[in-house]
Amino acid sequence: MIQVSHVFHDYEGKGKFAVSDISFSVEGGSIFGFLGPSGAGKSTIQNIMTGLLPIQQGEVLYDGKSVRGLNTGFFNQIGVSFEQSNLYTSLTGLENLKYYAALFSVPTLSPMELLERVGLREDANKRISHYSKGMKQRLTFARALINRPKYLFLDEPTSGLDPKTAVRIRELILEQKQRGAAVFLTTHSMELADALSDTVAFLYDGVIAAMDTPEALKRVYGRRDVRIVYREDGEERERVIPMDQREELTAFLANVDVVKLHSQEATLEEIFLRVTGKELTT
Amino acid sequence: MNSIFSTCVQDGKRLLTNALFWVLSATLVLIVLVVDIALPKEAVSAEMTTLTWNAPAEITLGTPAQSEQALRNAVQRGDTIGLVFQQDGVTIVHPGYSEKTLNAIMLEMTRAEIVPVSVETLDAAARETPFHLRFTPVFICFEALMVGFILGGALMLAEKQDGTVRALRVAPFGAAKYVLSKTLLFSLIGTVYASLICLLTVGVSIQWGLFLLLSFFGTAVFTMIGLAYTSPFRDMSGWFFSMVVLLSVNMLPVISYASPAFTPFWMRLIPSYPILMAYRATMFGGSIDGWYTAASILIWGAVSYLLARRFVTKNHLKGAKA
Repeated sequence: MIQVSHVFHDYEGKGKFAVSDISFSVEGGSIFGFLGPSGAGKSTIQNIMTGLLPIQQGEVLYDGKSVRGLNTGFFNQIGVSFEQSNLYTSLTGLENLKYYAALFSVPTLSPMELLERVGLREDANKRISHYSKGMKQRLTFARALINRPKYLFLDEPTSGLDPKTAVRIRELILEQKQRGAAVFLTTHSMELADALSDTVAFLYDGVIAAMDTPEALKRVYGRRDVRIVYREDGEERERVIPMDQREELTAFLANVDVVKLHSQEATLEEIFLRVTGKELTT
Repeated sequence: MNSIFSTCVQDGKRLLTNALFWVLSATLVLIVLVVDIALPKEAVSAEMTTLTWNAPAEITLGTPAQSEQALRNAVQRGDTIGLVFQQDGVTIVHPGYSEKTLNAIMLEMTRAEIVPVSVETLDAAARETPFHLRFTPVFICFEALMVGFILGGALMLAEKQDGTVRALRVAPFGAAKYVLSKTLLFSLIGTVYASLICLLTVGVSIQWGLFLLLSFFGTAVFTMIGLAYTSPFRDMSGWFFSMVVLLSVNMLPVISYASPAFTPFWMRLIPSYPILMAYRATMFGGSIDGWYTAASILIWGAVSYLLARRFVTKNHLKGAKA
């Protein structure tokens, strides 16, 4: 389990905190979705958790052991997929994975098998300089899995992927959860977070604005609506009525010529907007 | 060890696509061509000075020296021939000219009826070394052995520029393995480069055992210094120009190589000095201060390893910005 407790970080040391009082935990065999717009502090937290940034205040524990005292061997247990694919462009996809696999002192997965899983087997011997953005993204993701990490950090893992490949990557992420890994998923994609996360946290302006299971967030902050398409004066019109306003809904339905009726629930995107007052993509 | 060898192999593959590697390889070819074709086998300065000591009054050849020691000092500095007159003849004291040049001088002596003539060479190593080969140790020391300094730095900067260093930072690959894998790779390349230059210029008749050891450990020292030095830089521009300054300081022992009389103590502290002098002895004969050479390389090896480990940890494998 990863425990993050009361973490603060001030890059310039002038009292302007990039992140403030961040606390959460990620259990083994679960996916923690960390959502927020650019500049919210997501990367700062991930960098502190992976030891790339020193902790200034607060604590990060891996199975009770502080990240401050962890040695090089600790990195045998983690996998990180960066948003910007950072690969050796002069090497092939297969060579990149072999290079990385050799850095670990624990058994690693077969590079070719991993390439197969992310749909890059046929491009294994192509140089990275000839890979598309999506192919690089998949290879970066595959690289993060090579040591079967106990703690997996994924930053926008499906960004720039076609829908079919994105589904394949989602399946692989779920597989990691099923084998017991603690997955920390940083993303803009509410859809991805909603589909995969056991818990989500909204990070805004360096603080966690809300954190719970997606269902609980929808229950607390969202509302279920009914979208009614009806015919009036020869034209199709649409109206959305909250499901909890039953009287209004019943009265409306009784007086119109209904064409279509859809129930819909609030998306995480709408909840983020409601909680923070800002859109996630800004 | 597996991780060190494996990254060494992959770094070797990366190197094959690095333009600087091919530039250095082309320089190697150029050096061989210059030594074998462009440089003459013999070169004597047109403005050679002749100093005499104890010359009889009727001898008008050359300029009288203040003392015999002053004459010898001047000869050792180069471009000077000394004639030391004794009761039973004259001794030609020279800084290592070829037999052909000496024969010409002795002929002049005979014509002037100054006989008998004997010869004393102050630079034993230079005695039988043709002019065009004399600077081969310099080329090897400052080209072949510098591959690690230059290319190791280039690979390190490439890792920063393409972001792969971030992936290394979250891998269980500490600075020690990082430094050792690159040092191993470049020590092998440096040894191959040095051997090729030597084979294609001087030939096969040298002390190969010592030559290979010098090449391997010499390149190792310079590679580790290069890794430590490059680690704070973020791009090639600032690194390249300041590197030239550092390499220029490292080249100062060439002065002592050309003029052995000028070897101040501080010169002996520069890492290239013992290597350069030992190269000359392995290729052309002459004495070698074994303890000093071994101790210098060992101490520089340990110091450069500690520096590389510390600076690579601090500036390359840690300190990421969000």
